[in-house]
Amino acid sequence: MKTYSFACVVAGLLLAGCASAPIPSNPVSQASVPPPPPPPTIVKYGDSQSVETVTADFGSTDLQSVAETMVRSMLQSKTIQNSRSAPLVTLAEVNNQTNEPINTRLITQKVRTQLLKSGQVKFAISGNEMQSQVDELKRQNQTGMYRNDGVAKTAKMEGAKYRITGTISTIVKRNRELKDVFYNFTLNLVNNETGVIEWAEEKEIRKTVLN
Amino acid sequence: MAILFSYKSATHDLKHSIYESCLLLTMTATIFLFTSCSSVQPTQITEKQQMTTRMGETSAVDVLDMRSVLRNNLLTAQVSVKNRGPSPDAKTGEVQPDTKLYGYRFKWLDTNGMVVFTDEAWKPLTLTRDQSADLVGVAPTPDATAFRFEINQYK
Repeated sequence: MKTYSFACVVAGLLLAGCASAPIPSNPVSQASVPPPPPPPTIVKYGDSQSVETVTADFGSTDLQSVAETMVRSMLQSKTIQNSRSAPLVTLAEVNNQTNEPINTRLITQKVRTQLLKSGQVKFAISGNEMQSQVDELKRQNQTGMYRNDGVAKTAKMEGAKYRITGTISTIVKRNRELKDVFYNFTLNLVNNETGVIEWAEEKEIRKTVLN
Repeated sequence: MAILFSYKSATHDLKHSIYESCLLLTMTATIFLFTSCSSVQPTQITEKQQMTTRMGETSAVDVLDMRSVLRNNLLTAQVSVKNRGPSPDAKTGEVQPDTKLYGYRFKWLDTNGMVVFTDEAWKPLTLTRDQSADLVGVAPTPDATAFRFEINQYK
């Protein structure tokens, strides 16, 4: 027992000695040269509409110009202009056929917002947003917590006459000096009843990166 | 009688010469006035200049033509521009590179001159020397009745 206690004390002393032992190899130089301060962080607001050319990937300028071209073209189409009242449209998927992880829903949502702001088109809820609509109707009709006269009734939803579908694809070429990215974005307006494509527009973008 | 006649004639001549001098003086003054007016008159600002907003170094780009038409109930504007090439540097005389990167957009106004939509995105435009382009913009809403053209240069 005594031997065990002695060994513990010696080990403790040794450890304590180790902890206090480190001596700076060059204390003078460490004291005189403090570590460089981190570079100051500069935060500033920029113009959200300005031309963005950080990389050749699909960026904010591409998104904005694609959405603008599509919306203005669709608004000028005879399908929209010849309708007596604002036609009901819904969003379908934009198929991303590029190698980039592009959030295509951002494009369709931007198109939808601009079309709605024009007042020429109305939108029915899309398939992706259907669950939230069903949940809300269930909440109002099945929880028994709402007055009957103010409840949103079921089986009253309107079906869209048209749907918007699209595709984005790229051709990428590169050599030692440069990389060339060619985007092609196509949007179609399909008549849900007849299956006829009533309008289509494409937007082409070329971006070049010099190494 | 003869003396009276000659006095009257002399008076008439004097009046005539004074009248002529006055007329000459008035004409000279009028010419001077017109000349001075024309020399201080400011240079005429054309409608194209009024409808164009330039930001940054865009002096090499000429706006050749501007027109608009109502197409399918939406105002459609077309602006033709041409890059006549940058002039050499004023200080060093160095020739500036030909190809320039510009951005442009349209601003849409209603009958009261109010902006009818949020600002458009700047669209990139690459113009080399002597290259021209017809830039077309479509109003986002039927409320737009007029437009302005904005151009800038980006790095």
